[in-house]
Amino acid sequence: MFKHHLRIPAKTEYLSLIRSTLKNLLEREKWALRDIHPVILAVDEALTNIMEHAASQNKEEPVHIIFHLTPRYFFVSIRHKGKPFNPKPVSKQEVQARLQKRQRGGYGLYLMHTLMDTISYRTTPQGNELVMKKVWRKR
Amino acid sequence: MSKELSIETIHKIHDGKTVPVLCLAGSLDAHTVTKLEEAIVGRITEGQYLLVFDLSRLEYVSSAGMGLLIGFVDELRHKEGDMIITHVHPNVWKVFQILGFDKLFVFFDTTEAAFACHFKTQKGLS
Repeated sequence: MFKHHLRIPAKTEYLSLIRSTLKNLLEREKWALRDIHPVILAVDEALTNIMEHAASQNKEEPVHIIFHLTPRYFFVSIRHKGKPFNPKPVSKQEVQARLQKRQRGGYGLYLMHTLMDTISYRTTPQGNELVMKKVWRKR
Repeated sequence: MSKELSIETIHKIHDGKTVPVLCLAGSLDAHTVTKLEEAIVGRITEGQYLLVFDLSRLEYVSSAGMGLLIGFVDELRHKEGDMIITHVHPNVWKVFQILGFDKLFVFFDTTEAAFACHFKTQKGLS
């Protein structure tokens, strides 16, 4: 198993760096391109939520991202000390309702839950941790 | 999918009308979305309500980018314009589909096909 730890400020300008790094790591583990994109999108959405909502008060406070990778398995832990942010599931009906109202936001959580296998969240005295997991499936 | 967003605007003329085609390249995410918003607002301020987006070189879009497009579609349609999307990259198309946004926008393979359909519809309505 390959483990990679990144620490970035809670600023959206770092999203492209994370996507690029994750793409390289997954390619190194021989993941197919069609499987890489969903994982990258889910991580991007999670980080965006944390940067824009949970950690919006202190952008310099670091966000810790730990990737665990194998050729068949992806796991990411995202830790921050901002406001607790619970990534509860969003239904397709809720997404359709937002779309009908032409709401600009609120779609990221739906993408995260659709693209990843499991998502969990916990708040501890040391901070908040979001964990997402994806298992590669043979097609 | 890690590139910055670049926007090139090409003005095409169809039936004597000038239509801006916004050619996007790179990645559209929560950071780069303001750049596209400024470009769209700029065109609307100029009185251009039919906007074509050529996404052939846009490799990545997150929900922040999709949300931006949603925010403008009604305004353009109320002014007898529209938001037409052409040449969608497979990764981007997948996001449209997952969110159900593919039912909201009009997609074409080419800019010419988009113009032909839009102006034909406009003539039919007038």
